[in-house]
Amino acid sequence: MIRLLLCLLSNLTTARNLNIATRVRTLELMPYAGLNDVQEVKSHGSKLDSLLHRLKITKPAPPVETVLIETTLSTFTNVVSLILNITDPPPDVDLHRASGITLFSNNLTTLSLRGHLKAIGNILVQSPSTAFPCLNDLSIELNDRRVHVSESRLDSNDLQVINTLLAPFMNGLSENLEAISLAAWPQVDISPLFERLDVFPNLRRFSLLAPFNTALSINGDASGLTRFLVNHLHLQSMDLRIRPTGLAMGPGDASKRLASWFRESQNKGAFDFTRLKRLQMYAFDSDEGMQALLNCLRESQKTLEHVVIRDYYMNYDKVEGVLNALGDDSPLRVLRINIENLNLEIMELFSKKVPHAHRLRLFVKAVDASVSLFLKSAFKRCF
Amino acid sequence: MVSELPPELWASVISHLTEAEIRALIPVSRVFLDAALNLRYRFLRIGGTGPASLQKLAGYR
Repeated sequence: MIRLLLCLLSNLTTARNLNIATRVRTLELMPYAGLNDVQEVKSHGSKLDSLLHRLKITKPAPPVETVLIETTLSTFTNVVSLILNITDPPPDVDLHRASGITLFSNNLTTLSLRGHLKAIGNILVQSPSTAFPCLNDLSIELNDRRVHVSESRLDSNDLQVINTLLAPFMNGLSENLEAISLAAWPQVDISPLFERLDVFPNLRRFSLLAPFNTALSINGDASGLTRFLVNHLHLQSMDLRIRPTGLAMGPGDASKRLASWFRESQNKGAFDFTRLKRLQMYAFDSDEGMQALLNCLRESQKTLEHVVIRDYYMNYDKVEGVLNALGDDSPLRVLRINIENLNLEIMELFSKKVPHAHRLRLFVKAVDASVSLFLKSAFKRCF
Repeated sequence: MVSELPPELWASVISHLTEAEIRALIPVSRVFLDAALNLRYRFLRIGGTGPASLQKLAGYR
Protein backbone atom coordinates (compact mmCIF):
# COMPACT_ATOMS: atom_id res chain seq x y z
CA MET A 1 0.00 0.00 0.00
CA ILE A 2 2.79 2.39 0.96
CA ARG A 3 4.58 1.51 -2.28
CA LEU A 4 1.43 2.29 -4.25
CA LEU A 5 1.06 5.67 -2.51
CA LEU A 6 4.70 6.51 -3.20
CA CYS A 7 4.21 5.55 -6.82
CA LEU A 8 1.16 7.81 -7.05
CA LEU A 9 3.01 10.69 -5.39
CA SER A 10 5.91 10.36 -7.79
CA ASN A 11 3.51 10.51 -10.69
CA LEU A 12 1.69 13.57 -9.41
CA THR A 13 2.06 16.27 -11.99
CA THR A 14 2.93 19.82 -11.16
CA ALA A 15 2.29 22.85 -13.35
CA ARG A 16 5.92 22.67 -14.47
CA ASN A 17 5.90 19.10 -15.77
CA LEU A 18 2.49 19.50 -17.40
CA ASN A 19 4.37 21.45 -20.10
CA ILE A 20 1.54 23.95 -20.29
CA ALA A 21 3.53 26.51 -22.29
CA THR A 22 4.13 24.15 -25.19
CA ARG A 23 0.46 23.11 -25.31
CA VAL A 24 -0.85 26.66 -25.78
CA ARG A 25 -1.97 27.29 -29.37
CA THR A 26 -3.90 30.53 -28.84
CA LEU A 27 -2.46 33.20 -26.58
CA GLU A 28 -4.28 36.34 -25.52
CA LEU A 29 -2.06 38.97 -24.02
CA MET A 30 -2.43 42.43 -22.53
CA PRO A 31 1.23 43.38 -22.76
CA TYR A 32 1.48 46.19 -20.25
CA ALA A 33 -1.09 45.47 -17.53
CA GLY A 34 0.55 45.39 -14.13
CA LEU A 35 3.73 47.12 -15.28
CA ASN A 36 3.40 49.71 -12.55
CA ASP A 37 4.29 46.96 -10.09
CA VAL A 38 7.39 46.21 -12.13
CA GLN A 39 8.43 49.85 -12.03
CA GLU A 40 8.78 49.42 -8.28
CA VAL A 41 11.09 46.44 -8.80
CA LYS A 42 13.13 48.54 -11.22
CA SER A 43 13.64 51.26 -8.64
CA HIS A 44 15.58 48.79 -6.48
CA GLY A 45 18.04 48.15 -9.32
CA SER A 46 21.68 49.17 -9.43
CA LYS A 47 22.21 52.86 -8.76
CA LEU A 48 25.52 52.61 -10.64
CA ASP A 49 23.74 51.44 -13.82
CA SER A 50 21.34 54.32 -13.53
CA LEU A 51 24.19 56.81 -13.05
CA LEU A 52 26.16 55.41 -16.01
CA HIS A 53 23.07 55.62 -18.17
CA ARG A 54 22.41 59.19 -17.10
CA LEU A 55 26.00 60.13 -17.94
CA LYS A 56 25.52 58.37 -21.31
CA ILE A 57 28.50 56.10 -20.61
CA THR A 58 26.55 52.89 -21.30
CA LYS A 59 23.73 52.02 -23.69
CA PRO A 60 20.36 52.01 -21.98
CA ALA A 61 19.54 48.46 -20.96
CA PRO A 62 16.16 47.06 -22.01
CA PRO A 63 13.61 47.63 -19.29
CA VAL A 64 13.47 44.85 -16.72
CA GLU A 65 9.84 44.06 -17.48
CA THR A 66 10.30 43.56 -21.24
CA VAL A 67 13.25 41.22 -20.69
CA LEU A 68 11.15 39.23 -18.22
CA ILE A 69 8.25 39.08 -20.64
CA GLU A 70 10.44 37.98 -23.54
CA THR A 71 12.12 35.29 -21.46
CA THR A 72 8.82 33.95 -20.21
CA LEU A 73 6.96 34.07 -23.52
CA SER A 74 9.82 32.38 -25.37
CA THR A 75 8.70 29.10 -23.78
CA PHE A 76 5.37 29.26 -25.64
CA THR A 77 6.77 27.60 -28.73
CA ASN A 78 3.59 26.31 -30.37
CA VAL A 79 1.47 29.45 -30.43
CA VAL A 80 -0.21 29.86 -33.82
CA SER A 81 -2.86 32.37 -32.84
CA LEU A 82 -2.04 35.58 -30.99
CA ILE A 83 -4.49 38.12 -29.59
CA LEU A 84 -2.96 41.39 -28.39
CA ASN A 85 -5.20 43.62 -26.35
CA ILE A 86 -3.53 47.01 -26.38
CA THR A 87 -6.30 49.36 -25.37
CA ASP A 88 -5.06 52.41 -23.43
CA PRO A 89 -1.35 51.56 -23.17
CA PRO A 90 0.91 53.70 -20.97
CA PRO A 91 2.84 56.17 -23.16
CA ASP A 92 6.36 55.00 -22.27
CA VAL A 93 6.00 51.26 -22.93
CA ASP A 94 7.76 49.63 -25.89
CA LEU A 95 4.70 47.69 -27.06
CA HIS A 96 6.60 45.79 -29.71
CA ARG A 97 8.98 44.20 -27.20
CA ALA A 98 6.42 43.92 -24.41
CA SER A 99 4.02 42.00 -26.65
CA GLY A 100 6.69 39.47 -27.60
CA ILE A 101 5.25 39.45 -31.12
CA THR A 102 8.61 38.69 -32.75
CA LEU A 103 8.79 35.47 -30.73
CA PHE A 104 5.65 34.14 -32.41
CA SER A 105 5.46 35.90 -35.79
CA ASN A 106 7.10 33.11 -37.77
CA ASN A 107 4.46 30.52 -36.83
CA LEU A 108 1.36 32.69 -36.53
CA THR A 109 -1.62 31.84 -38.72
CA THR A 110 -4.00 34.18 -36.87
CA LEU A 111 -3.24 37.63 -35.48
CA SER A 112 -5.72 39.81 -33.66
CA LEU A 113 -4.84 43.37 -32.64
CA ARG A 114 -7.24 45.25 -30.40
CA GLY A 115 -6.66 48.80 -29.32
CA HIS A 116 -6.04 52.34 -30.38
CA LEU A 117 -4.70 52.95 -33.86
CA LYS A 118 -1.51 54.57 -32.52
CA ALA A 119 -0.79 51.59 -30.27
CA ILE A 120 -1.30 49.20 -33.18
CA GLY A 121 1.01 51.39 -35.26
CA ASN A 122 3.56 51.17 -32.45
CA ILE A 123 3.63 47.41 -32.87
CA LEU A 124 3.51 47.39 -36.68
CA VAL A 125 6.34 49.88 -37.06
CA GLN A 126 8.80 47.14 -36.09
CA SER A 127 6.88 44.19 -37.55
CA PRO A 128 7.16 44.01 -41.32
CA SER A 129 4.63 41.79 -43.05
CA THR A 130 7.50 39.54 -44.18
CA ALA A 131 7.90 38.47 -40.55
CA PHE A 132 4.53 36.66 -40.80
CA PRO A 133 4.99 34.05 -43.55
CA CYS A 134 2.09 31.82 -42.37
CA LEU A 135 -0.44 34.49 -41.43
CA ASN A 136 -3.78 33.97 -43.17
CA ASP A 137 -6.26 35.47 -40.71
CA LEU A 138 -5.95 39.09 -39.60
CA SER A 139 -8.30 40.82 -37.21
CA ILE A 140 -8.06 44.47 -36.25
CA GLU A 141 -10.35 46.09 -33.72
CA LEU A 142 -9.83 49.82 -33.38
CA ASN A 143 -11.03 51.61 -30.32
CA ASP A 144 -10.01 54.39 -28.03
CA ARG A 145 -11.80 54.85 -24.77
CA ARG A 146 -9.85 58.02 -24.01
CA VAL A 147 -11.39 60.04 -26.82
CA HIS A 148 -14.90 61.35 -26.41
CA VAL A 149 -17.38 60.73 -29.20
CA SER A 150 -17.85 64.43 -29.88
CA GLU A 151 -14.12 65.05 -30.39
CA SER A 152 -12.41 64.95 -33.76
CA ARG A 153 -12.26 61.45 -35.15
CA LEU A 154 -9.28 61.43 -37.45
CA ASP A 155 -6.18 63.44 -36.74
CA SER A 156 -3.14 63.60 -38.95
CA ASN A 157 -1.28 61.04 -36.80
CA ASP A 158 -4.06 58.49 -37.27
CA LEU A 159 -4.02 59.09 -41.00
CA GLN A 160 -0.26 58.65 -41.03
CA VAL A 161 -0.54 55.32 -39.17
CA ILE A 162 -3.10 54.11 -41.72
CA ASN A 163 -1.13 55.30 -44.73
CA THR A 164 2.37 54.34 -43.68
CA LEU A 165 1.89 51.34 -41.39
CA LEU A 166 -1.48 49.60 -41.42
CA ALA A 167 -2.26 49.63 -45.16
CA PRO A 168 1.29 48.61 -46.21
CA PHE A 169 1.27 45.85 -43.57
CA MET A 170 -2.01 44.44 -44.88
CA ASN A 171 -0.97 44.84 -48.51
CA GLY A 172 2.25 42.99 -47.74
CA LEU A 173 0.12 40.02 -46.67
CA SER A 174 -2.18 40.21 -49.69
CA GLU A 175 -1.10 36.89 -51.19
CA ASN A 176 -1.66 34.94 -47.97
CA LEU A 177 -4.65 36.49 -46.26
CA GLU A 178 -7.81 34.38 -46.40
CA ALA A 179 -9.74 36.25 -43.72
CA ILE A 180 -9.87 39.92 -42.75
CA SER A 181 -11.90 41.23 -39.87
CA LEU A 182 -12.11 44.95 -39.14
CA ALA A 183 -14.01 46.65 -36.38
CA ALA A 184 -13.99 50.38 -35.76
CA TRP A 185 -15.81 52.02 -32.91
CA PRO A 186 -17.32 55.48 -33.41
CA GLN A 187 -14.15 57.47 -32.86
CA VAL A 188 -12.03 55.91 -35.59
CA ASP A 189 -12.31 56.66 -39.29
CA ILE A 190 -11.07 53.80 -41.44
CA SER A 191 -12.23 55.07 -44.84
CA PRO A 192 -8.64 55.99 -45.88
CA LEU A 193 -7.61 52.37 -45.22
CA PHE A 194 -10.00 51.00 -47.85
CA GLU A 195 -8.73 53.52 -50.36
CA ARG A 196 -5.23 52.09 -49.99
CA LEU A 197 -5.90 48.37 -49.79
CA ASP A 198 -4.78 46.20 -52.70
CA VAL A 199 -6.52 43.14 -54.08
CA PHE A 200 -6.34 40.06 -51.85
CA PRO A 201 -6.62 37.18 -54.34
CA ASN A 202 -7.14 34.46 -51.73
CA LEU A 203 -9.53 36.35 -49.46
CA ARG A 204 -12.54 34.20 -48.55
CA ARG A 205 -13.91 35.83 -45.42
CA PHE A 206 -14.44 39.53 -44.81
CA SER A 207 -16.00 41.03 -41.74
CA LEU A 208 -16.64 44.71 -41.09
CA LEU A 209 -18.26 46.20 -38.02
CA ALA A 210 -18.45 49.99 -38.12
CA PRO A 211 -20.75 52.99 -37.97
CA PHE A 212 -21.17 54.47 -41.44
CA ASN A 213 -21.16 58.17 -40.58
CA THR A 214 -17.98 58.26 -38.48
CA ALA A 215 -15.92 55.30 -39.62
CA LEU A 216 -16.55 54.94 -43.32
CA SER A 217 -17.65 58.25 -44.78
CA ILE A 218 -16.29 60.95 -42.54
CA ASN A 219 -15.85 63.24 -45.56
CA GLY A 220 -18.98 61.94 -47.24
CA ASP A 221 -16.99 59.51 -49.36
CA ALA A 222 -17.21 55.74 -48.82
CA SER A 223 -15.95 54.90 -52.30
CA GLY A 224 -12.92 53.10 -50.82
CA LEU A 225 -15.14 50.39 -49.35
CA THR A 226 -17.10 50.12 -52.61
CA ARG A 227 -13.87 49.62 -54.55
CA PHE A 228 -12.68 47.04 -52.01
CA LEU A 229 -15.90 45.03 -52.42
CA VAL A 230 -15.77 45.25 -56.23
CA ASN A 231 -12.23 43.83 -56.06
CA HIS A 232 -13.33 40.89 -53.91
CA LEU A 233 -16.38 39.40 -55.57
CA HIS A 234 -14.91 35.96 -54.91
CA LEU A 235 -15.70 36.19 -51.18
CA GLN A 236 -17.39 33.17 -49.61
CA SER A 237 -18.37 34.77 -46.34
CA MET A 238 -19.19 38.41 -45.62
CA ASP A 239 -20.30 40.10 -42.43
CA LEU A 240 -21.18 43.66 -43.34
CA ARG A 241 -22.40 45.04 -40.07
CA ILE A 242 -22.58 48.73 -40.87
CA ARG A 243 -24.87 50.86 -38.77
CA PRO A 244 -25.93 54.33 -39.93
CA THR A 245 -24.32 55.89 -36.84
CA GLY A 246 -22.36 54.78 -33.80
CA LEU A 247 -25.11 55.91 -31.50
CA ALA A 248 -28.49 54.39 -30.76
CA MET A 249 -30.17 57.67 -31.68
CA GLY A 250 -28.32 59.05 -34.65
CA PRO A 251 -29.19 61.87 -37.02
CA GLY A 252 -32.22 61.10 -39.18
CA ASP A 253 -30.44 61.39 -42.50
CA ALA A 254 -27.65 58.95 -41.56
CA SER A 255 -29.83 55.95 -42.41
CA LYS A 256 -30.70 57.48 -45.80
CA ARG A 257 -27.02 58.12 -46.56
CA LEU A 258 -26.15 54.51 -45.79
CA ALA A 259 -29.02 53.23 -47.95
CA SER A 260 -27.92 55.50 -50.81
CA TRP A 261 -24.33 54.26 -50.55
CA PHE A 262 -25.56 50.68 -50.57
CA ARG A 263 -27.68 51.31 -53.65
CA GLU A 264 -24.90 53.17 -55.51
CA SER A 265 -22.35 50.48 -54.64
CA GLN A 266 -24.76 47.88 -55.95
CA ASN A 267 -25.04 49.75 -59.23
CA LYS A 268 -21.24 49.59 -59.47
CA GLY A 269 -21.34 45.80 -59.01
CA ALA A 270 -20.00 45.76 -55.43
CA PHE A 271 -22.45 43.02 -54.40
CA ASP A 272 -22.33 40.75 -57.45
CA PHE A 273 -20.74 37.91 -55.50
CA THR A 274 -20.39 34.65 -57.36
CA ARG A 275 -19.44 32.29 -54.51
CA LEU A 276 -21.01 33.87 -51.44
CA LYS A 277 -22.17 31.18 -49.00
CA ARG A 278 -22.54 33.17 -45.82
CA LEU A 279 -23.95 36.67 -45.45
CA GLN A 280 -24.60 38.72 -42.36
CA MET A 281 -26.05 42.22 -42.62
CA TYR A 282 -28.28 44.72 -40.92
CA ALA A 283 -31.68 45.34 -42.44
CA PHE A 284 -32.87 48.82 -43.42
CA ASP A 285 -35.94 50.73 -42.40
CA SER A 286 -36.03 52.68 -45.68
CA ASP A 287 -37.46 51.26 -48.90
CA GLU A 288 -34.31 52.15 -50.84
CA GLY A 289 -32.07 50.28 -48.41
CA MET A 290 -34.41 47.32 -48.18
CA GLN A 291 -34.60 47.08 -51.96
CA ALA A 292 -30.81 47.08 -52.14
CA LEU A 293 -30.63 44.30 -49.55
CA LEU A 294 -33.14 42.22 -51.52
CA ASN A 295 -31.13 42.72 -54.72
CA CYS A 296 -28.02 41.57 -52.88
CA LEU A 297 -29.81 38.38 -51.75
CA ARG A 298 -31.11 37.78 -55.30
CA GLU A 299 -27.59 38.08 -56.74
CA SER A 300 -26.29 35.29 -54.50
CA GLN A 301 -29.44 33.16 -54.11
CA LYS A 302 -27.84 30.18 -55.86
CA THR A 303 -24.90 30.00 -53.43
CA LEU A 304 -26.15 31.36 -50.10
CA GLU A 305 -26.32 28.73 -47.38
CA HIS A 306 -26.26 30.89 -44.26
CA VAL A 307 -28.06 34.24 -43.99
CA VAL A 308 -28.26 36.48 -40.94
CA ILE A 309 -30.27 39.70 -41.14
CA ARG A 310 -29.93 41.63 -37.91
CA ASP A 311 -31.40 44.50 -35.94
CA TYR A 312 -34.43 45.76 -37.83
CA TYR A 313 -37.69 43.92 -37.05
CA MET A 314 -39.59 43.17 -40.24
CA ASN A 315 -43.30 42.90 -40.87
CA TYR A 316 -44.94 40.14 -42.92
CA ASP A 317 -44.45 41.89 -46.28
CA LYS A 318 -40.76 42.51 -45.72
CA VAL A 319 -40.15 38.94 -44.53
CA GLU A 320 -41.97 37.70 -47.62
CA GLY A 321 -39.74 39.95 -49.73
CA VAL A 322 -36.61 38.44 -48.15
CA LEU A 323 -37.82 34.87 -48.64
CA ASN A 324 -38.80 35.56 -52.24
CA ALA A 325 -35.39 37.12 -52.89
CA LEU A 326 -33.74 33.96 -51.55
CA GLY A 327 -35.78 31.95 -54.07
CA ASP A 328 -37.33 28.50 -53.91
CA ASP A 329 -34.28 26.53 -55.01
CA SER A 330 -31.65 28.19 -52.82
CA PRO A 331 -29.22 25.94 -50.93
CA LEU A 332 -30.13 27.85 -47.74
CA ARG A 333 -29.47 25.88 -44.55
CA VAL A 334 -29.46 28.55 -41.85
CA LEU A 335 -31.60 31.68 -41.60
CA ARG A 336 -31.66 34.20 -38.78
CA ILE A 337 -34.14 37.03 -39.07
CA ASN A 338 -36.01 39.50 -36.85
CA ILE A 339 -39.78 39.65 -37.17
CA GLU A 340 -42.28 42.06 -35.68
CA ASN A 341 -45.13 39.70 -35.01
CA LEU A 342 -45.04 35.93 -34.94
CA ASN A 343 -48.39 34.68 -36.20
CA LEU A 344 -49.66 31.56 -37.96
CA GLU A 345 -49.49 33.25 -41.38
CA ILE A 346 -45.80 33.99 -41.03
CA MET A 347 -45.09 30.45 -39.78
CA GLU A 348 -46.95 29.16 -42.82
CA LEU A 349 -44.82 31.39 -45.00
CA PHE A 350 -41.57 29.99 -43.59
CA SER A 351 -42.72 26.40 -43.96
CA LYS A 352 -43.66 27.09 -47.58
CA LYS A 353 -40.62 29.13 -48.64
CA VAL A 354 -37.72 27.58 -46.72
CA PRO A 355 -38.75 23.98 -45.97
CA HIS A 356 -35.16 22.81 -46.57
CA ALA A 357 -33.59 25.05 -43.88
CA HIS A 358 -31.88 23.10 -41.10
CA ARG A 359 -31.96 25.95 -38.66
CA LEU A 360 -34.39 28.83 -38.45
CA ARG A 361 -33.68 31.44 -35.76
CA LEU A 362 -36.44 33.97 -35.31
CA PHE A 363 -36.05 37.01 -33.07
CA VAL A 364 -39.57 38.06 -32.29
CA LYS A 365 -40.98 41.34 -30.97
CA ALA A 366 -44.50 40.09 -30.29
CA VAL A 367 -46.22 36.72 -30.39
CA ASP A 368 -49.76 36.47 -31.70
CA ALA A 369 -52.34 34.85 -29.41
CA SER A 370 -53.09 32.22 -32.04
CA VAL A 371 -49.43 31.10 -31.98
CA SER A 372 -49.38 31.01 -28.17
CA LEU A 373 -52.42 28.73 -28.15
CA PHE A 374 -50.94 26.57 -30.89
CA LEU A 375 -47.62 26.20 -29.00
CA LYS A 376 -49.38 25.45 -25.69
CA SER A 377 -51.46 22.69 -27.24
CA ALA A 378 -48.40 21.31 -29.04
CA PHE A 379 -46.44 21.18 -25.75
CA LYS A 380 -49.36 19.51 -23.97
CA ARG A 381 -49.38 16.81 -26.61
CA CYS A 382 -45.62 16.34 -26.19
CA PHE A 383 -45.58 16.05 -22.40
CA MET B 1 -0.42 -1.81 -28.10
CA VAL B 2 -0.83 1.92 -27.44
CA SER B 3 2.91 2.55 -27.46
CA GLU B 4 3.37 0.61 -30.70
CA LEU B 5 1.48 3.11 -32.81
CA PRO B 6 3.37 6.26 -33.84
CA PRO B 7 2.11 9.56 -32.37
CA GLU B 8 0.90 10.93 -35.73
CA LEU B 9 -1.47 7.96 -36.09
CA TRP B 10 -2.78 8.54 -32.60
CA ALA B 11 -3.23 12.22 -33.44
CA SER B 12 -5.30 11.21 -36.46
CA VAL B 13 -7.42 8.80 -34.39
CA ILE B 14 -7.95 11.37 -31.65
CA SER B 15 -8.98 14.05 -34.15
CA HIS B 16 -12.18 12.06 -34.71
CA LEU B 17 -13.13 12.13 -31.02
CA THR B 18 -15.09 14.76 -29.14
CA GLU B 19 -13.61 16.56 -26.14
CA ALA B 20 -15.82 14.59 -23.77
CA GLU B 21 -14.71 11.30 -25.31
CA ILE B 22 -11.05 12.23 -24.99
CA ARG B 23 -11.54 13.22 -21.34
CA ALA B 24 -13.26 9.92 -20.65
CA LEU B 25 -10.24 8.08 -22.12
CA ILE B 26 -7.66 9.78 -19.88
CA PRO B 27 -7.16 6.73 -17.60
CA VAL B 28 -6.48 4.48 -20.60
CA SER B 29 -3.01 5.73 -21.42
CA ARG B 30 -0.59 8.67 -21.51
CA VAL B 31 -1.54 9.29 -25.14
CA PHE B 32 -5.06 10.25 -24.17
CA LEU B 33 -3.88 12.16 -21.09
CA ASP B 34 -1.59 14.16 -23.36
CA ALA B 35 -4.41 14.83 -25.83
CA ALA B 36 -6.71 15.95 -23.01
CA LEU B 37 -4.04 18.29 -21.64
CA ASN B 38 -3.52 19.75 -25.12
CA LEU B 39 -7.23 20.54 -25.24
CA ARG B 40 -7.27 21.89 -21.72
CA TYR B 41 -4.43 24.35 -22.29
CA ARG B 42 -4.84 25.22 -25.99
CA PHE B 43 -6.05 28.73 -25.07
CA LEU B 44 -4.33 30.90 -22.51
CA ARG B 45 -5.24 34.45 -21.56
CA ILE B 46 -2.66 36.48 -19.73
CA GLY B 47 -4.40 39.39 -18.09
CA GLY B 48 -1.20 41.26 -17.36
CA THR B 49 2.57 41.06 -17.36
CA GLY B 50 3.25 42.26 -13.86
CA PRO B 51 5.63 40.34 -11.57
CA ALA B 52 2.91 38.08 -10.17
CA SER B 53 1.71 37.02 -13.62
CA LEU B 54 5.24 36.43 -14.88
CA GLN B 55 6.10 34.34 -11.83
CA LYS B 56 3.02 32.22 -12.45
CA LEU B 57 3.86 31.88 -16.12
CA ALA B 58 7.39 30.79 -15.31
CA GLY B 59 5.84 27.76 -13.63
CA TYR B 60 4.14 26.80 -16.90
CA ARG B 61 7.39 26.09 -18.70
